[in-house]
Amino acid sequence: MLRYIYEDLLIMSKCGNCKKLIHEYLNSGRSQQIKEKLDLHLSVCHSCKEYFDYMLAINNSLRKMKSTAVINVKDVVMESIREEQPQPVRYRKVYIGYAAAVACVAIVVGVFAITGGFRTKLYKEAAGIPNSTYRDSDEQIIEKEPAFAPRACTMANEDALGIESADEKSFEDMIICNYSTDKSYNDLMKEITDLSEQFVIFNIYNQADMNEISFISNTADTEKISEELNLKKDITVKTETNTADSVSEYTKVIIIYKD
Amino acid sequence: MEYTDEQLINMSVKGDTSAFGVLVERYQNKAYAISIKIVQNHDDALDCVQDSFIKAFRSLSSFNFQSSFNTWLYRIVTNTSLDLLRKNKKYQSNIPIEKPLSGDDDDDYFIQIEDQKADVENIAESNETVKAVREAISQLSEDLKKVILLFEIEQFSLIEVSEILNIPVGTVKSRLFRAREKLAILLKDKELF
Repeated sequence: MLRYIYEDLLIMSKCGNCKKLIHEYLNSGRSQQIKEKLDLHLSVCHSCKEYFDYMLAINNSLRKMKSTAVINVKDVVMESIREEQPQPVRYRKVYIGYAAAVACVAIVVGVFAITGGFRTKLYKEAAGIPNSTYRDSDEQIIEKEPAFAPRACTMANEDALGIESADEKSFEDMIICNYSTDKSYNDLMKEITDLSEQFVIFNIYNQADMNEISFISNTADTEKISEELNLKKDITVKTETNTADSVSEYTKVIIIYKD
Repeated sequence: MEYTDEQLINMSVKGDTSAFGVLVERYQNKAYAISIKIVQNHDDALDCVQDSFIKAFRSLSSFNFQSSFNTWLYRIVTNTSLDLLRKNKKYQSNIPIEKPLSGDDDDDYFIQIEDQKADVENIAESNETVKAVREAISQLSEDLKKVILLFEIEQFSLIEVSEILNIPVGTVKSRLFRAREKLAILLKDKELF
């Protein structure tokens, strides 16, 4: 027992060690064990005792500053979150999908009326495989139907071949690509706006306080868009599974720009 | 039945935004308490808290549960509040950082929230001490201010502070040491203690 006290006294023989122990005492939430060690030195060192009392007083004042305010930001936060949800885009896609489906039905009915029935080879045409003409079983030349919108073509193709429709896909399944650029906000926005005429780009959103612009694009276009914008790639994740090994139709592109 | 944070996060990621609302309710007051200490202004603190929750929601799918949700959230709150403070300093350098919440006395709010049961005699003394301590804290560097705010005032543990600030516990301790020493020097002339 005496040996331990002697060791403690030896350790505490320097005021610098005592100072460290005082802070350790405050860091520990005022451990009684440390206090007992401190008391050995504080009882004989007036300057350390003064320092200890002073630090304790500051510590007490700081602890009193803990606030207990009650706020309610839930409604505002939830409203902002709801506004950011991609549902409106989905509705727009549904309308485009319906329009495409109607157009396809009209074309298919037209083809049916001309040829007198469906033929398997027409699926090839719906799938957009480049062919100027097809021959039916009777070797009669069928002229290619007028081209229709690419989106409509995709829908018809998916329906005909039994592939999951784009409308049924969830945006939760998106790949997220993080990029950075040295461009300013204005330059970047201008280029994105220009590119939106060439590629599928929607839901453009600017988070000014984070210097971040995000938008949703077709996964197939993402690489070309990043090249056009000369972006540096950071990370790619897939929201649902955190892996990017499977292919999603949509990609959320997040770009950090310079001030 | 009360859901855990992890359950609520998973529900939110799957599209149940109301689950995120529960998380907002659960942590908004503490988030505000941190932010108000940094930005020193009620409206700014509210904005910071709102922004922080929205940022957290956007990044929820990438949250990996390596730290607890609240420490992760408080890190966002701290950084968002400091960002705002920097912007305020940059663009409004002629306006004092400590703006009154309401009325002429800028201590009204702090007295109200920090010590609601304080008797009248103690209020004046408490006012003066709090004001001096707040002034001293505002003179600390950002790094020192953060540890004092989180450890001493909000009374998070050393490990929690280290997680919130994303620094080792040893660094938290050394910053606390320097912050206390600096505060002691700044408050010495005031003869408050």
